Amino acid sequence: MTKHWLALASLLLAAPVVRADDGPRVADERIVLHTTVGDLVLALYPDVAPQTVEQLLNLTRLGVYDTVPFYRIDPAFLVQLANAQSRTVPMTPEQSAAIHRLPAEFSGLRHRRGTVSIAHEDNDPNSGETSFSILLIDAPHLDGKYTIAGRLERGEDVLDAMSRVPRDSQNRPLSPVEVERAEVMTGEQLAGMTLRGPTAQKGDELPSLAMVKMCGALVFVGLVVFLLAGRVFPPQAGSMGLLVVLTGGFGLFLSLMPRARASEHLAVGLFLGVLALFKLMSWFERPQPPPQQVIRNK
Amino acid sequence: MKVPLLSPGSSKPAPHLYFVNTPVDALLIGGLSIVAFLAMGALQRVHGQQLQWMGAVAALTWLCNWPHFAATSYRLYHSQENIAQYPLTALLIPVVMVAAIISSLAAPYTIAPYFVKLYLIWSPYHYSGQSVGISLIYARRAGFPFGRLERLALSGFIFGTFIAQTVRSEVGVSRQAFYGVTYPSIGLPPWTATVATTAMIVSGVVFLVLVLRWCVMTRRMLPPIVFLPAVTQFVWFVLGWRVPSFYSFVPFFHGLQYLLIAWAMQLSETMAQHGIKPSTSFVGGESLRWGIGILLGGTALFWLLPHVVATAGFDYNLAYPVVIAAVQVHHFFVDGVIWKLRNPGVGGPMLVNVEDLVRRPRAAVAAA
Repeated sequence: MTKHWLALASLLLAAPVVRADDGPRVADERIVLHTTVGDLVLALYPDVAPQTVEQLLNLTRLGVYDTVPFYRIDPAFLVQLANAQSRTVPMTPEQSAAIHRLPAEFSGLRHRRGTVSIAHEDNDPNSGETSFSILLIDAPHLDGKYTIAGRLERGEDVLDAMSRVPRDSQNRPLSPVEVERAEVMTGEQLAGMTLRGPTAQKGDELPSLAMVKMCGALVFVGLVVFLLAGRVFPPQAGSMGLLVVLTGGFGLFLSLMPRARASEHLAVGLFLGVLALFKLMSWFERPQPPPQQVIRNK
Repeated sequence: MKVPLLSPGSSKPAPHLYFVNTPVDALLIGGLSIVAFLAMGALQRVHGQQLQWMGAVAALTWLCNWPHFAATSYRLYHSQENIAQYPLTALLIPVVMVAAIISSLAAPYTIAPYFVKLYLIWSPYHYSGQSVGISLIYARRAGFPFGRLERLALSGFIFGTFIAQTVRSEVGVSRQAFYGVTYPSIGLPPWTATVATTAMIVSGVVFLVLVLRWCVMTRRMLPPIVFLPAVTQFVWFVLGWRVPSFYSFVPFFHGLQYLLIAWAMQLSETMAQHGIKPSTSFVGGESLRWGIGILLGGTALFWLLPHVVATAGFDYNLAYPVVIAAVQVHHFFVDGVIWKLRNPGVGGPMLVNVEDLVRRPRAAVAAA
C-alpha cells in the first residue's frame, strides 16, 4: 500500500515538461530509459511519426538501447544518444537485423525543450536509425529538418543533472553516461512504478575526502605492519598488514577512479598503485614451518 | 632426444632441460600459441575479417582453463599439511573473496565494476608472473645463473608486454563490458603508451645483451626454450590484439603452460610422499585421477558456483562475472605464495623430468 502511495506521490511531484494538452496524441506505450544518471520517460507521437515510433518501440523491446552511451551533452543545446552500434555490449544478430533506416517524417511541430528528435546524417534526412536527441532548449532552427518522435514526459530533473556532468571541449562526457536498460511500459504500469531520480553518476561521483583519507590511512598502517612484521610484530602480522593494504587499496581505487579521469597525474599514479598492490600481494604469506621443525628449533 | 646438461665438478647429474622433451615442452610453453597466432592472422588476412571461434574457445576453456584454476585449489587444499603451511591464504582469502562477492552483488554499479576491473588488470599481471617463473625454471635447468640484473631485465620485458597492452586499453575515457558488468577506463594520458612500450623494448634489449655476454664468457649457448615464455608473452599481448580471434584463446594457452608444470609437480610430489617407484602405470593412473579431478573442480568453480549464487535471486549476468572474478583473484593469491621457486619444497620437484617418473633415476642407473 505504501508503495502505491509513493508511486502516486512521485507521479504528482514529477513536473511534466510539456502539458498533456500541449501537443499531438501520445501513445499509451512509453519508453523508459534507465540511465546511469536516473530514469527518463519518453512519450511518443504515433500519429506524427508512425514509422519512427514503431521502430523505437520495437528496438527498445529487443534491448537494442541497453548500454548505448550519450555521446554528446551540450548544456546549451541537447543531449544526444549515440548510435546503437556503439553500445558497450555488442548487439545480437536479431538486434542488428531489426534496425532499419527511417524515412524523414517531418511535421509542423516545434523543437522545444524536451523534444525527442531523431538524428540523421547531414545531407540525408532519410538516414535516421537509432540515435536521437532530447533538447535542453527551444531550437526553432531544427523545425522541419528533423523528425520529432515524442517528448520527455518525466525526468526533467534527470535531464538537468545529465547536462551538468563534466565534459571535454567537444561536449563528450568525461565519465560515461549511458542507458543501462531501456523498456517499454504502459501508462498504467508507470503509475505503479517509482522512478529513479537524478543521482550522481554511478561510480563517477567525486569521492569524499574522508573516504580517501581513511583508505589512505589503511594502506599506510597496513604497510607499516607488513614492513615491521618479524621485528616489532609477529611474522604472521605481515599477512594481516597486507590484507589491510588490499582493503584500503581497493577503497582508494574505487574512490579515486572517477577523479582520475579528470587528472592525468592521478590516473598514472592510480595505475602504478594498482601494479604495486599486485606485487605486494605476491608476498602475502610465507610457508609456515612444519610442526616437527618448530619443535626441533625449540 | 634429451641431452642432460652436466655442470662441471658436480657429482650429481644436472637436471634435464625439459619437463617432457623438446617438442612437447616447446609446444605447451608457447609454441602452440605462436603457431595459432600465425595461422589465425593468416586466415584473418585471407577472409578480410576476424573469424568466430567461440565454440572452440568455450570447449578449450572448459578442458584447460577452468581445470588450471582447479589445479591450484587442489594443490593448496588437498592435504591438511598444505593448508597448515599457508593457513591465511587457504582460509582467510576465501572469506575475503566471499565478502567481495557479496559487496559486488549488493552494489552492482558502485563496487562490482571496480572489483571486476581490478581482476581484469590483475589477470595479465598474473600471466606475466607465470611467464617469468617458467623462464627462471628453464634457465635454472640450463645452468644459466640469473643475477639480479638479468632477472630485472627479463621481468621488465615480460611485465612490459602486459603493461604496454593494458595502458593502451586504459588511455582515454571509454567503457567496456565483462559479461553483464560495465566498467570505465582509468583514463591514462596517451603518452603513457609510448613510455610503456619504450620501457618494454629497452628491458628486452638489456636482457639480450646480458645473455649474449654470458654466452661469450662461458662459450655456451642458452637454449631457446629459456626465451620462449618471453616471446610468447610478446605474441599474446603486443602482437595478439591485432588478431582478436586469437586474443580470446590466450587464457587457454596460459592454462596449458600452467598445467604442464602443475602436472609434473603433482606426479613428482605424489611419488615422493608415498614412496612410489617410477613406472608408466603410476604416471598414467595418477595423471588420469588428477586430470579428472581438476576437470570436475573447474566445472564446479566456473559453472556450478555462479549458478548457485544466481539461484539466490541475483541476475546471472551479474553473478557470473563477479563470482569468476573472485575465484580468479583467489587463484592469483594462491599462485603467488605456493609457487615460490626459492622454496626448496617447490624448486626441487620443479626440476623433474617425466622420464624420471617412468624409469629409475639416472643417478641410480649409473650407480647400478
